[in-house]
Amino acid sequence: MARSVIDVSGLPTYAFGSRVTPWWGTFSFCLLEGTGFALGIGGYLYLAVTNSHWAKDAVPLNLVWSAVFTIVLVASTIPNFLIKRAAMRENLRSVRVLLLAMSSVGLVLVVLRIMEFSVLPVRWSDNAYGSFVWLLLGLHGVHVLTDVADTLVLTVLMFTRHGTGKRFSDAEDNAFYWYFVVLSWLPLYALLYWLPRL
Amino acid sequence: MSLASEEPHATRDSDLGDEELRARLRKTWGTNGGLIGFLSTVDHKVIGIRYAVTSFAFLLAGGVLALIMRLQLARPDNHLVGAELYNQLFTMHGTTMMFLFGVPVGEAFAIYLVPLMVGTRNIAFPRLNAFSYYVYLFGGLMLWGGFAFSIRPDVGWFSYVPLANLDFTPGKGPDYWAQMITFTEVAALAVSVEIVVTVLKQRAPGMTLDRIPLFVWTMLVHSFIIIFAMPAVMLASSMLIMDRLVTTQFFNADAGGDPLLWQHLFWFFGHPEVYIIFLPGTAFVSAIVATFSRRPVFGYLPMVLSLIAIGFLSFGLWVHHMFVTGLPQVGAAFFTASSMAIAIPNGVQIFCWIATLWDGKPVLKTPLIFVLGFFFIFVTGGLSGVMLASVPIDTQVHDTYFVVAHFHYVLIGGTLFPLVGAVYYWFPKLTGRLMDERLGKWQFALAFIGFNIAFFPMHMLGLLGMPRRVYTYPAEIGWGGLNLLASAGALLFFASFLLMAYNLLVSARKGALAGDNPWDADTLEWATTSPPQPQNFDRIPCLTSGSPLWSRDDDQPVVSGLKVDERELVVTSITEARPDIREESPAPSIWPFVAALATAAAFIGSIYTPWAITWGSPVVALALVAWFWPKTSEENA
Amino acid sequence: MKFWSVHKMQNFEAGDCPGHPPWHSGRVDAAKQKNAANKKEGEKRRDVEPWLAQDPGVASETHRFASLAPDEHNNIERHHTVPHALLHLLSHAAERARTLSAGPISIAVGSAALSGCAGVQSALDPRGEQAHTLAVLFWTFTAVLALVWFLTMAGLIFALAHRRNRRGEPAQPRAAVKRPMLIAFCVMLASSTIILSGLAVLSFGAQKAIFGSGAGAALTISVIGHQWWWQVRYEGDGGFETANEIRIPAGSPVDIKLTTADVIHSFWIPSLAGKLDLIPGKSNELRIQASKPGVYRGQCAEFCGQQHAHMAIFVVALEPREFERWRAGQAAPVKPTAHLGRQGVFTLALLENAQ
Ligand code: HEM
Ligand SMILES: [Cu+2]
Ligand SMILES: [Cu+2]
Repeated sequence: MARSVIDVSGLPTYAFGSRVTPWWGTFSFCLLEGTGFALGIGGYLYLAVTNSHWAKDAVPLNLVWSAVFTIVLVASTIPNFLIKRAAMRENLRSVRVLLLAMSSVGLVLVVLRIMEFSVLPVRWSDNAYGSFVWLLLGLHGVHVLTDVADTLVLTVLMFTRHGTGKRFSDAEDNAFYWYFVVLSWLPLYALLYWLPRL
Repeated sequence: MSLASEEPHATRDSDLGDEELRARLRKTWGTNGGLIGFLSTVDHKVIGIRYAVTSFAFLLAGGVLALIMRLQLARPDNHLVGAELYNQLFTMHGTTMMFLFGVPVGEAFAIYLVPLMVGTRNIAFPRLNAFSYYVYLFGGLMLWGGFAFSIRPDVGWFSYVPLANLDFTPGKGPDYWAQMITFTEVAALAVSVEIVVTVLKQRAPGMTLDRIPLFVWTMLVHSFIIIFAMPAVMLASSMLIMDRLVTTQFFNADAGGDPLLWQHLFWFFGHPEVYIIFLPGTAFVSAIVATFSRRPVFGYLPMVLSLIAIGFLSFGLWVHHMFVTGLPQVGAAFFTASSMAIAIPNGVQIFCWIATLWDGKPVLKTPLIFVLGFFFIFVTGGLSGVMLASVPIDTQVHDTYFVVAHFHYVLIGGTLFPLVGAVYYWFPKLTGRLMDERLGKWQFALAFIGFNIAFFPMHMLGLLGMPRRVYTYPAEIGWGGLNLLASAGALLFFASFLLMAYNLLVSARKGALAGDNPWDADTLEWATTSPPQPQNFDRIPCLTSGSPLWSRDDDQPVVSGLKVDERELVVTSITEARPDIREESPAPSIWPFVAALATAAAFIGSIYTPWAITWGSPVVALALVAWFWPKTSEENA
Repeated sequence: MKFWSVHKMQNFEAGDCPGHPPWHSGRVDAAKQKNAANKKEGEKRRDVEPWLAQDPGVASETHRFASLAPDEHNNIERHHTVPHALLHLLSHAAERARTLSAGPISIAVGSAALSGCAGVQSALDPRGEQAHTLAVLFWTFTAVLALVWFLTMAGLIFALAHRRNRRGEPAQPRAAVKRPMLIAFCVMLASSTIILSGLAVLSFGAQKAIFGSGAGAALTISVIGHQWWWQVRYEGDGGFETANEIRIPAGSPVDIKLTTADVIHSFWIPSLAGKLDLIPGKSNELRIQASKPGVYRGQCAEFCGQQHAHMAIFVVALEPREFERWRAGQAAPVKPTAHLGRQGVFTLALLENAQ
């Protein structure tokens, strides 16, 4: 009858990167969220090109908070990279410290985004330009917020007795998603802050 | 690396005999009883069946609405339902059919069948799967609950602005509509991610890319289309509801917005949506044609390439829904060309199926008969689609009954006929019993004749100038006869579904016993019991060819070494499907249900106050934390 | 909303009939008309219909007028590149089939005026150049695609018939890929590419013929969509407005400028031309031309709210001289115009009938 040809008892129960299913799950979510961002950008550009009111409505946005935000966000890729490396080496101490660092950076970013909203020169209800600015900033803000929340939970987990084995894989996955949060910001930044100044 | 922490004496499948192995695995993978157990299940088969039953309930509900519309239109100047109710009816019918039936029913089959066909024990992210079902259910219940309490969207299934704006539609109907979109899209996106990961990473060892059943390939492409298309409608419906609730100006032409932006975003999703609904139909056809022709589908490679081509091309067609909005002519002409181009991969598929039948020895059982009906009806609808692709022709038939005829030919012919065939085909796997063949053939006759009587005359009505979405028409204009005919056909067609319901109920209890593989089919779902055990397979199969069951290898090669008392499954590499990891599959949990409940409450609340999102999010977040928080027992590994 | 409730109160009963003349024609002050037109419709109809009933002669005249005898087909100017004899036959055959299939039931329902009324609002009964080009294109596509359909079905039936089920046949694990099948595959691929390209080229040709004309027409009329009526504005000095009725001179092209006052509508007179949407923030332009005098019915083709079904419009094509006279009359300062408008149509009907 059944003839065993492969013995899998020696295989690991978790791994890192694209070998595991959560990585592909995260990757798929990046794809679909990225599509959402791309369409948002498309909508913005569509109105900018087709609507005659747009040019008058598109007041340039304040550059200060967004610049700080962008710098912190880009800089955060360094601790993010270190987490990834520490997680793959299953170095619990470093992972804990770095996760604490990333959590604080994330919270700072959330505060910066809130500051940004408070100085926007246009309200969402003023015109379609304002609506798009709020929409795109909000959409990206939600991504920052969810990943920060995720990081916080993971940080707590790492300080409990659960901080072993597969959790390292989760930490690595979380770092992977953060790259997406950073990368998706760059085109938005260029679009929202620099295009109207051209 | 993790081997060190491994318990030395975990029981593995290689330690046990067949009987005991089955019993132990049942215990490990089973679902608990009781209400909590019922709501906690993460078994893809249970959830797949729930999806299927729910979507069929919505099909019936949408069908009843359609019948009322047809009764209203049967006679000119009719007073059965007034303008207001008629507009609500077609909106609810279209919305229900597209979002609550068409998309979920394809997912139902994918959820149930894909893990079986690729030879794994559960779908990837099974808790997300449970969550997606509840979100879908709550979205549907919200829309229909609103309908019962007279909160009824009435601006069509594509809710064009500015008609759907607050100025012209002040009720809550469009808000319920827009939130329902969000619900069902969240569900659809979640399922797509699960299917993609299941197909890429959880295939049985040896199921290399070129041994993946066509059904599974189709569902993979289907899932990718969802991943790239659905964000558009989620974005659009969120923008619509924000325009309505918090006075954003996305679609307001006087404030820098544009109503055409809505159309672009909606149809960027809306055209692929047609393929999202249609591709599962082709998956059924591929499976049924192969089994009943007694050989694999001709042209595996062209079939897969056509699928991928359809996937890409489906994103390049959306403007053909906007030919009469006054777009630049050159731009429109481009979309004529792309719309015609997609007929080619579709033609390739049709050819390959017919070639398979030609070469094979077709056995005319009910599933195959419905597939033959599919050829007849779908090809008709596809060809009228070629007409619609032409800008000039479209200026005459756009938004008329010609289009109503066209999309019912493709939707019903392309999806519903294969779907009924699929029900007959997989029912024995789900229940262990066969459906009645004689009733099946009667059902086919009724459905086929009824459908054509109902919908063919609509082509002519459209050409005679009858626009769609009119609740009545004057007698003198001469549309009465054809409309009466169409209504009579609709009754017949509807009756065929009652016959099917009867057949289902009776066969579930009294049908002939099916055995594991009643049709002598080739894919892995037939390699296990009917109905399958909670663990799907006692021993995970290993493939040595693309025809695991037809190669008549009594000496079925299998995998050994999985733990018996934990939910372990084999994760394999993407192209070669070589075993790589023994991953733990999540156990049942009530938290997906709680999270879905909280999400639903937040979404519905947000229709009345934006603060609902603010208050709802932390609750959802807490439920999610509970959902992902590891159990102590899982830490053994 | 105040605005909403006003509309909800309106009571629309029977629909417009193409055989009946359009009642609220003539000069209208659009601003005042906005809500009044539809609200009053019920009353107006009460005015008109008994009058029609009292005078059966007039009523039947209008019906006959609307039917514009089928042999008129021969008089329509034809511009096309496809051999049209065949298409003409086809379109006639289809028309007959249509009447046949619809006829008995319609008669049973009691609508004897079927063929007549259908002629007024039908894409298959073109009465203008654009609509004619479209009909020819439509029939060409239908003929070619019907052929494709028959070939496909023939293939399917042969596939089933040539080797029917010998039960219990063991399955074959390999798809048999034989030479003839590969050849057939290539032929299928090549021929479908050729056919589709051919159709696309025909489509582009027609598109150019219909929408490509650069020069503006002598007459431009603005049509403004409202829920649920059409405001028609004749521009220029001595400009004036009408509602739900457009009068044009027969035989010459007219540009219709389409805008909307509220939601999206779609302007569609099937027997004259294809449709075009009226979209907020946008102005679209459609060319129509009626070959002969007559009344051509159309109705809004984009769902626009509750009474979308009743948003009909009539194009009345007059002899150019008659048109000029009417126009001059409209442009003159004050007159009981609604009455005049109605009379105009009837005069025309009687004239037409006398020929
Ligand atoms: C019992 C069989 C069915 C009948 C008799 C039927 C009939 C109708 C009718 C009368 C309309 C309204 C036409 C109008 O007033 O414009 C309609 C619209 C529609 N139907 Fe069906 N239908 C059936 C099944 C389906 C199925 C299975 C689907 C999809 C899978 C579907 C999708 C739609 C859609 C999307 C619309 C457009 C709604 C809108 O205009 O917003 N129908 N159908
Ligand atoms: Cu489409
Ligand atoms: Cu309308």
